[in-house]
Amino acid sequence: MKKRLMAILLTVALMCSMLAGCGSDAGDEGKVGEDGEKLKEITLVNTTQDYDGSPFAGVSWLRLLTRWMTHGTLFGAFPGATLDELQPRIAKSITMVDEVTAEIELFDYVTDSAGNKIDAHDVVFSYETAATSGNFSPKLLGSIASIEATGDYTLRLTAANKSKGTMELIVTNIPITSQEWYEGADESERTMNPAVTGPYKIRSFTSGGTIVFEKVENFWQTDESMKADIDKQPLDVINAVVITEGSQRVIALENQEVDVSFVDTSDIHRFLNDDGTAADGWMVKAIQDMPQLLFFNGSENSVFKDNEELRQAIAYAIDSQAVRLGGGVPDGIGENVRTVGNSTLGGYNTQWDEEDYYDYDPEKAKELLAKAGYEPGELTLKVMTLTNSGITSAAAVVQSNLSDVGINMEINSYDQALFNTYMYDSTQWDMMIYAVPSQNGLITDLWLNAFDARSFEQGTMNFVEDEHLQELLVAASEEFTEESIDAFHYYLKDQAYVIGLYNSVQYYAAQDGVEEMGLDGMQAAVPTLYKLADDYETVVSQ
Amino acid sequence: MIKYILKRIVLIIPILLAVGIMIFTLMYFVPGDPVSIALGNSATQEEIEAIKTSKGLNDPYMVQLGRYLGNLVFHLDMGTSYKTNMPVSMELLSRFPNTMKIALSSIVLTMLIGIPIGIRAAIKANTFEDRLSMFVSLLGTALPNFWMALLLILLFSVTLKWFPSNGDKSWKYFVLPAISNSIGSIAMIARQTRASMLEVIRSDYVVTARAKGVPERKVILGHALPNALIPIITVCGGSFGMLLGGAIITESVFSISGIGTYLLTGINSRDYNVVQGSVLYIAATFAVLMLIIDVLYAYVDPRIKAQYVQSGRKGKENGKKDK
Repeated sequence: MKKRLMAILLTVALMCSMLAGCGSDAGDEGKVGEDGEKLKEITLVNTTQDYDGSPFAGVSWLRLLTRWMTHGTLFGAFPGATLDELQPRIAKSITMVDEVTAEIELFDYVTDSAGNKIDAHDVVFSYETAATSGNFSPKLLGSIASIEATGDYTLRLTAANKSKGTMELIVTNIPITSQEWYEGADESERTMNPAVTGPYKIRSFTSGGTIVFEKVENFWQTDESMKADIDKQPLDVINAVVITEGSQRVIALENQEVDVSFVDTSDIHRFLNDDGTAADGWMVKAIQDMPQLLFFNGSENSVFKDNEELRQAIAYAIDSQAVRLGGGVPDGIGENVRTVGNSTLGGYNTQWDEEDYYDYDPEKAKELLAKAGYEPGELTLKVMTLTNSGITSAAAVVQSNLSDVGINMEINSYDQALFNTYMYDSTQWDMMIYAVPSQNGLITDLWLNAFDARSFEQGTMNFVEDEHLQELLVAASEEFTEESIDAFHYYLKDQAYVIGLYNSVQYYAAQDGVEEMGLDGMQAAVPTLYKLADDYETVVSQ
Repeated sequence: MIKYILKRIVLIIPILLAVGIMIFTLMYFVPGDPVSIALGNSATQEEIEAIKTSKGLNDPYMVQLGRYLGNLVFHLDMGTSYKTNMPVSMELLSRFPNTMKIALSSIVLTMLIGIPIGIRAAIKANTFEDRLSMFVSLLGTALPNFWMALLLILLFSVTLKWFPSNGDKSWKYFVLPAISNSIGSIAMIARQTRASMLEVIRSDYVVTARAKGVPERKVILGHALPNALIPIITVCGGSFGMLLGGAIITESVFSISGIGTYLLTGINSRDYNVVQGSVLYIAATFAVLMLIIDVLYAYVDPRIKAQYVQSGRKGKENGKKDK
């Protein structure tokens, strides 16, 4: 009996010692630096577990927020920045020699955090490695025709097309790293402790857990006047803790376990007043995301093929304001869209706001449905959405609107992997709700992503084969004039191949004292662009 | 006995191979792939196919399966994550301590609470105490652990602020996961212990022990309990195996970086190697635990030990006859 009791006690003691031994990196960090100064530190939330710190890794949530903070690019950008407005990072200047070719000069004193010198050959190596990594957007890579070093610190970069914004895109979205370091490092060093050319490096890395970033003390760019916004170092330490569940993120904020977190649209009301302003004790940042669009399947066997009336009937049947509210975007924060795009994108014509854009009219919808050759109740359509509480709620409002005019609708929601597979399968959906991105903040880039026939096996993203649409698209993206953009917008609006529903919003909530969250060129709320109150101290107890 | 254990260890190999083939085949036919997720929706089909080809994902089924099994068997290589490029085996190892902490604390809690409750209920069979404990056990089995986890968070984290709601920084972070994880198994063990003990308590040797004037405490703990242990060990072993395989829901709710969340992330991003590696790990854990349980049977019950020894001898004699 005594032996058994001893065994039980030993087991308990073993367990306690194991648990007591699992101290944290972050928890053990002091809040005072070597010089006795209080460290500026914040804790933010990473919503996924798949972070990879290497320069050429695939995109993940935390990586979107921190990639250019750790890995420098040729230039820095803010949303919609033009070539003249780019901020020098590793490159000092850019000069366009012709419509597609740029001469780029680099700073001649760039080093990474391990002390390796960066020159034009490292830049060429970085662009070539990105191209073969399989982790960068093929559209971005396809925009680069060639890159060559013309000297130790000079480069010639040629874009593959004349589309507006292409050069801005390709000089701000490829990480620059030292060839010597990269080729000498093994995979775990690349992932967990990379040599960085940006202002922050990884201090500690727990796979699937907390990642701690700290500022690079000997950051190569010492000339403050030449520092891009993203290269500034307002914080000493940034802790990124993983919280995958939406409700847990809210609890973590309310329990003061984190300073800043992304918040689901279904939970944001806890941080907002009725009028859409931030509630006491909170700062809420609403980032206008891409517009949610309703795509009609234009393939050969679809009911929408050559049936403009049917597409328009559905467009008029939808109350986009109700859909937006259903999607968790309240008045005062979000907006309904008046084109396939939104007002935050470069090239948007504000005149479109004054015009009719399939404003809710169920009676007209019924007339058009009859003209299209369908009786009420005759038609049942499958709509495909991503599994996302906001979008599926918005789809439910669309379903209700269509039911009012006599169209049945079935909602099929899929995870990202299935959605990506089914979106190219014309037999899987009749309508699709999806937000197409614009990589460079221009409306024409969004249009290219959705409609460029060169990018799809069959017509556009929704299988529409229309040569005139393609001509107008090329003109709009290359000329980028008000006339060419208007021409595309009005043609697309008349044809109603796709209609804009509402602008989705990404919410971040932060503790009071985080005054502003700046955005980089890809609309990501990068921590180095946060503005904190002078006396702000992290709420997270150490 | 050692021969029996060696035989069982050898048997684990074909089991793991079969699991490897099954999970590979299932993942092969599941729609979606890691490349289209990595590239996003601005990539064209042509571009996606080109990268899939470069990564060998467009090779025929048999070629991919052969490559996978070859790496697994000859190099003990589970491959690397398509998403992070990190070796799967390294990731599993780095996450194992967290999963172990949850599993160990949960199973200890389960045994420390569940077995005494079951014994007490059996001793006091058909009394109010018995009915109450069985009602509570039924409740514990019926409540889903994710719901319990949320209730625990609301009470101990949000209201009382005694424990953090998520993370894995220190022992405090494992208290709520261990409780939420063990409530269901406490109830299950309690019910199992009660049932086993009831059977044994009515046996002749227990009646004899009582008649001889052996103290009741010794009758229960010294005579009845050891004979009721086999089904209890089976249930405990099964629960521990499940917990070591990664408590997917608990790890997700409490944002703990363990095997369960690794598997879940792998499934969501169709990271084939991650899913295959994690499932193989779970299968191996289960197989080893079942072996340990079988060995434990032998220590608890001498009749079973005799059987194992006998089966070892038979094998030896058959071998001699064949010669």
